[in-house]
Amino acid sequence: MKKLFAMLTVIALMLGLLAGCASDPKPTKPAGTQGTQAPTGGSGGTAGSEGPSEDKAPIRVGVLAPLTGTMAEFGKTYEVAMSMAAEKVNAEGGINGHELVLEFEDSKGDQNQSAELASKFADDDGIVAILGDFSSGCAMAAAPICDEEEIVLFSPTASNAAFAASSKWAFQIAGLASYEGSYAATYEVGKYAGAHDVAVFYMNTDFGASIVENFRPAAEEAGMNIVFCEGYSDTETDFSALITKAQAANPDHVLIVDQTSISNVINQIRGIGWDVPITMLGPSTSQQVIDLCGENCEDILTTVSVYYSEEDPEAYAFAQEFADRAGFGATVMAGFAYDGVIILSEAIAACGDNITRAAIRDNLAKTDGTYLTGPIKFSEDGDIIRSYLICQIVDGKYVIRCGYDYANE
Amino acid sequence: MSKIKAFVGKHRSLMLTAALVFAIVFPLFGFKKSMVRIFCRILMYFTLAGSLNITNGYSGQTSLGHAGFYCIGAYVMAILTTRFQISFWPVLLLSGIGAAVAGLIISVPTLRLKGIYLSIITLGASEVIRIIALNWEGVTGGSFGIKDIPRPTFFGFTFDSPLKFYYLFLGVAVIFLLISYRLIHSRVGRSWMSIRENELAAKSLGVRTAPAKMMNFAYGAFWAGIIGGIYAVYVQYIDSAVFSLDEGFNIMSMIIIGGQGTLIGPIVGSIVVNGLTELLRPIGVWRFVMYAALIIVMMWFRPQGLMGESNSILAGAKIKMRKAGKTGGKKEAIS
Repeated sequence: MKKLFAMLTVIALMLGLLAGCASDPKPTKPAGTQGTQAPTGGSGGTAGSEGPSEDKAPIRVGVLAPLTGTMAEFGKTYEVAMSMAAEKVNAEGGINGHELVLEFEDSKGDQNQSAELASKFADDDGIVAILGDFSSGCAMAAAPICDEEEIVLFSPTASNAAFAASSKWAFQIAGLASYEGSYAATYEVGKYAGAHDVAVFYMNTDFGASIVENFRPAAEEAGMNIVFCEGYSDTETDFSALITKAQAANPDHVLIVDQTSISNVINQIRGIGWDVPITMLGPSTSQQVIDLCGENCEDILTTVSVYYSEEDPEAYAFAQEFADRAGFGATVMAGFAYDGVIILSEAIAACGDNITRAAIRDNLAKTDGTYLTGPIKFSEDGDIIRSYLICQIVDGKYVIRCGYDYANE
Repeated sequence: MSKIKAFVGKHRSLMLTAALVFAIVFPLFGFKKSMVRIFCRILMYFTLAGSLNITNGYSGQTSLGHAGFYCIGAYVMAILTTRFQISFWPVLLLSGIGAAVAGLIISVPTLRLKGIYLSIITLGASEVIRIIALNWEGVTGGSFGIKDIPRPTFFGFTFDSPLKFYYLFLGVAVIFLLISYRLIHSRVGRSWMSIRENELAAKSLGVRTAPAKMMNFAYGAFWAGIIGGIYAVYVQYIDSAVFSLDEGFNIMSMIIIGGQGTLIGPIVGSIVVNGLTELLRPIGVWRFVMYAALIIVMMWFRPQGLMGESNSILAGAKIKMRKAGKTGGKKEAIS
């Protein structure tokens, strides 16, 4: 009996797999109705359906995002910010009257999945371009496939300088970590804070490593000594050994290069009663840091490429709405994701009636304008160099200390 | 049921030939590239799970660190082909040998360990390998990984599409099966199984358990290294994040579901696990729940896996006794 049960299970699963194969190439449902998607107000073009004309076929764009897994909160950032952008595009009449539909697929933050899903999108003739993936690693894994299949892979958040350079079909707008690293050294820690002996803690990811790689020579050129520089893995939570070691080197400034455990590091530094000035970088800048660190993060310096200030009504409104929908504050990633959709839809619109993957690539490369997160113009490789603001946390709020042109002053 | 079994038993070579012909022919029926990639993944994980099955299923040494060997193979391939422009085929062998050496190194100090203690050592070893890959920036590219790994060529024929890789994976899987089949039915294989059933008894019968266990580890690791090498040229970009413990557990779940200690088990396990990943995609996060439920149900109904050998000690006493009563014991302990 049990054998029979087992055999039946195997047969059922195999049949299921084959059924899956057969039904695969069929056009998928509109994004808003797919199971994997947003519990938060739907994805893609559901809201703006009265904008675009009904009889024109929708334009479908694939999105690779880590909707589940350890990076799920970033997947959510993608989902919410990109859906907001798609709704805006559709509310304004869509892309030349066509509705923009985003089709989210869950890569789990897993490189293999990301590559396979990119291949799935590339196989689907209805998909005109791919947005994502969130992390540089996943984007790098999908890049060779998109290069081969000749479809745009536009990651709004990848920061690894090798990504866009690896293919003419790959684009990124997060700003290169390499430049952010040298900016932090020369202007933030050097010119603004006036540090001499710097201790560096960095998360050993491609982002952290490339910041440090570029921070070091720039800092040395600016006359600073790096007295301590050590990395930690993204799963570590106890930094006391590192902190004690750093303290023994007697630095007058600490730089923390991190994406996810920044509040832990700050709290542990302050926890042992060490009141050294601290600087952090763009991806760490969020309301969460202030919430989690409270008084510990007072006076901390940070660079940001995007600042959702009240003086900029569009950006401020975006941040407010994002926070409402997502349930957490907008980081720079949210702005990048939003801009990704807007920039891509402009590139598609520029194709006119002849929308091909190649035409989208060419138009995307020509992008030159100012968006929510600042001016964007791609280099030859398909990446951009961003300008940064220097902010400081004062009374539980980010305050701008230096403007975008501080580097030129 | 028994009739089907008898039929399969009688016409075994015919059935195997038919399965092989099917595997060769069916991807040609105009599947999309993304679909062929899934077939590639199934074959790749089959060999990977099969190689873990050599250690876990045949000699009963529960290794949880298979991702580490897989990692070594991939990095050997990536480093040697990108830095030194050595051709794919000799490096493929080196990938396997590199992983086998690592397997040997791990097996020597663990010869006296059993069960959970051995598992924990292998678990740790796997993480150590991954962390070395992450931090040894000068050689492995650190967290940037290694990109632009060149495609392999074979007398002017370049493996540049998923379909061509499918046949490469299939070829390796068949070679793995053939060699493993011969090995398991040889003296070496029997000594592995005797260690699994009762190490002390095996020793008393003159089985030299230490070399047998070392060879077992090295052989399993060798194939994981080979697959790692092919994986590197298949995806053309690797970084250490792929070879996490999760990957190790993923491989292990395939042999648990498919059945340990059989050659067919990992095939079924790989089809089920990879098939489910695709099938359940539309239900989003719920697929993890489904997946977990499947493993629990499996443990309940068939602890020995779908294709598990029922007269192995892994099958649990109940099934074993019933089986013994029914058939009077089988001569051969493997499929």
